Amino acid sequence: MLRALIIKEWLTSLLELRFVVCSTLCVVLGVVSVVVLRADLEVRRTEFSKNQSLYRDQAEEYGSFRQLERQGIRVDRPPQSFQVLFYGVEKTLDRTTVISDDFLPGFEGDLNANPAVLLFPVADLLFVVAVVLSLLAFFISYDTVAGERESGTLMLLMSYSVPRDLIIAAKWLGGYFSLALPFLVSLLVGAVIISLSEEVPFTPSDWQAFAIAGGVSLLLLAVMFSIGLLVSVRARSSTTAILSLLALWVLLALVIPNLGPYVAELVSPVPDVGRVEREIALRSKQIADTYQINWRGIRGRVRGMSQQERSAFFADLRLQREKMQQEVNKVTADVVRDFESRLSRQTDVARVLTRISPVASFVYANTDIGATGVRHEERLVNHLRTYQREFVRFVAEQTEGQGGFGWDGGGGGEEYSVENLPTFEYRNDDLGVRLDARIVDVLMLVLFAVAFFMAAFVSFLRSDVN
Amino acid sequence: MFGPLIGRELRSHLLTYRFALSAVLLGGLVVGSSLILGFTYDRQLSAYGESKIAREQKLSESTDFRTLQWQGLQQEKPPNALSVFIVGLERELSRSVTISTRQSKLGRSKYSSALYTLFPPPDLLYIINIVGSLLAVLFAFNAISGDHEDGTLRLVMSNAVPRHVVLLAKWLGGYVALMAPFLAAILLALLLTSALTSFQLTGAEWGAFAAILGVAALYLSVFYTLALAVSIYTRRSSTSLVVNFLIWVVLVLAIPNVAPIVARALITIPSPGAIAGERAAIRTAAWRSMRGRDWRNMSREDRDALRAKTEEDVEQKTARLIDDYSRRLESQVSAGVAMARISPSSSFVYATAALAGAGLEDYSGLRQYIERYRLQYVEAIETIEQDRRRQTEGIEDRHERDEIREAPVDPDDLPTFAPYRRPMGEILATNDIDLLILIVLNGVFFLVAYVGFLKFDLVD
Repeated sequence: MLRALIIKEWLTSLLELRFVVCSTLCVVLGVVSVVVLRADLEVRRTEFSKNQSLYRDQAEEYGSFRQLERQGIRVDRPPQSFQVLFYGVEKTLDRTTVISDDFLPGFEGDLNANPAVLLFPVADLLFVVAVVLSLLAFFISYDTVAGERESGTLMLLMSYSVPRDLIIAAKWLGGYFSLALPFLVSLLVGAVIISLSEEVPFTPSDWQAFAIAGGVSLLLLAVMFSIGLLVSVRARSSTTAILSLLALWVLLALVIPNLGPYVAELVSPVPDVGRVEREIALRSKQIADTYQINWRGIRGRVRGMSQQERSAFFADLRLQREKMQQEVNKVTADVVRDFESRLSRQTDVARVLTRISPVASFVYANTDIGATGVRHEERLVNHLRTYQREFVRFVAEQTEGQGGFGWDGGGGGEEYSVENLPTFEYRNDDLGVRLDARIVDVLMLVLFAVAFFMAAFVSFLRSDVN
Repeated sequence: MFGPLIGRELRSHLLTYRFALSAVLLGGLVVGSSLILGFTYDRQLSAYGESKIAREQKLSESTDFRTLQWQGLQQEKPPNALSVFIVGLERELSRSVTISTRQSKLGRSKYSSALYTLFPPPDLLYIINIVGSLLAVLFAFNAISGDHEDGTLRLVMSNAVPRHVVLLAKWLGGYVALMAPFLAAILLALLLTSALTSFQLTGAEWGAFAAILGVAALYLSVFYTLALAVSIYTRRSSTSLVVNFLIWVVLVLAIPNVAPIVARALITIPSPGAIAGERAAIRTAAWRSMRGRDWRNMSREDRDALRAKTEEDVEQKTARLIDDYSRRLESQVSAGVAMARISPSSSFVYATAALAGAGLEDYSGLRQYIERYRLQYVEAIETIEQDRRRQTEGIEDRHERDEIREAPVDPDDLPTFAPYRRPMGEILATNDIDLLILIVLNGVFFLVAYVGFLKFDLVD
């Protein structure tokens, strides 16, 4: 019985123009987005490796480790393979940072970037599912019940001895399949494109993430379809249903997720970046004042000294500077850590506030599963800091026992080479950990799907056929 | 004849669920988003004031010219009041910038949370661009086909009314019904944000705001007219809805979002990081070549001259590098823009963002301004330093000399950092193509609708 009903649903939707349009749209958009973003990733990856060697060559030119220490080495944001599907935070224009001894690293903005990308959302698969497909879900489901009620076929169907629960279950399954099928097709084509291109190095764990992300997308579609079905059952006419659903779509997919960070900023504010920077500067200055290293007139002061006295003087000066730098670094780290813990609290607040929209949960879940989300950003910055420590250690090892500053005559004559300088390596954390962090969002989606389906189910059981 | 027809159209719209829903939705969205962005603007304004005070305080302490030259001074532009309605590129433009002799360095984004990158800002621009155009489609998709289906069209036509009058009345009635709640919402949002936040517009900004509304009206009418035309040619409302919806998704959600990335992949240019690296390398190379010189046996004038020459050399090479790069960057940007303009949605966004002072040209304008400002700043610091050196030339007492040399710098002696707001004429001149596209599309779609309606068969 159920099978016959599902097939009926499936056939009716299959024959409609709406179905043809929706599935073409879904497949074309999905495939175009993967193809375009694959080309983008290719550019990014070539750029990354080219820049990596360029930056090393530039560092090689400094000629001394003291120069290297001061001027530092540039590091680019490593391209994430998952950006072909979920662009996420990769949209940012902050792509390069300088790792030296006295800055807390973080990717910096540059006005020489191309800002055109920022005016519009990137049409990645994430956007296609969150915005376009969730709209299609409403578009396919709005008249499943309301339309049949209007045309009278529902009454006809009910005049047979078909239990209502079977009818609504069949409506859900049949309609959902006609939505999920084109999506699965576009996912499959996307997978083929990815596996065929060398430029997208997907590891087995990436493929697992791909499968999970696909599952989460299907969950979102199930939620949206169930909402559509519920409205369709409750609405008096299919026009009312589609209008209400469009308003709902605007709220769920376009407004609530986007308002999240702004509202969180007001509810759980973090200090302005400028203020944080000033606090660091102020406290660094206080430390510098206690050391009172007088840099002025150094040349005059050392003029009368013997070579030995001179190097002892500079070694002492250098030691003091190092100690000062350590203290400054500690204070900086304290201030920044405080700022970051408040920032991550704010992010959590934004997540909690926006989770009333399944689309928001979906975006949080899939960007983190694909390692292009907020977690990835935080982890990347932490990695930069680890790398900075490696960098400082490297320079310290190379200049051990040299003292001096490079410009004072000391520290020269060393064999300068950056060949052994460690490179910046970034690895995503394990898929399990990533998934663990977003399990709430996945559960929210399951909960929404079940709740809305149940609501539609119960409403339909109690509804009037006319 | 025209009057009653429009009246009928209007009434038939006003009584619908569609009208009520869109009025509530638009009202809630426009007012809510502008209030939230208004409060964000408040916070930015106070942060801006704080950093201004901090900068002045830094200058009022004793001056260390090395720090001012090498570490530089942090500057930022005042927050843009229009960002309450149109964010555009303001998130990027609002960053502070550290100006020093070496190069200008952008500060971290004031929008610290990475979530800001994940979602576009829900401003008026976004609401009109997506929700507004969708409503425009909804208002018109069954304008003719619906009337045809329920038979009222035949009834109307059985009277002595010319078809063009019917069509014009339909267009106007629906358009007014679409725009009225929208304008009312904006008016309410203006009132509330002015009352509850520090949002205030200057004369020029009012002009820009009016122009933004004008462009929005043009943009909405493009989609409205297009949907009307589709409604005539498809004859059935359900078909019309599907076709309209397809066109809308492609024009609003697909093309503008794909084009910039396609352009970036097709026209590759070195990354900003590579350019910054090259820039630093020019400086390193220049100063390394100086190191081999025999400084001790040079007179002071020679030394200064050599230093100045090297500095000039570095500046020239840098300028060449940046000029060349900027040209390539601009060509990449404009390729993406040209591609995106297939869709009126892009034209709308480019034009409105430009009018709000947060468009693509403002971004490149700020870049050029900062380069110019940096040179002015370096020159000003040098002049002050030289002045003081001259003043202290005859003074023997070291303390007295230091006192003059290290006296606080008057902020007025430094050039003020004020990226200029492009005048309206200039904006309209650079974005005339966007306006032209919107106007032409309006005309074309209306003509198509007109021809279709004249040939419309009432019988079947």
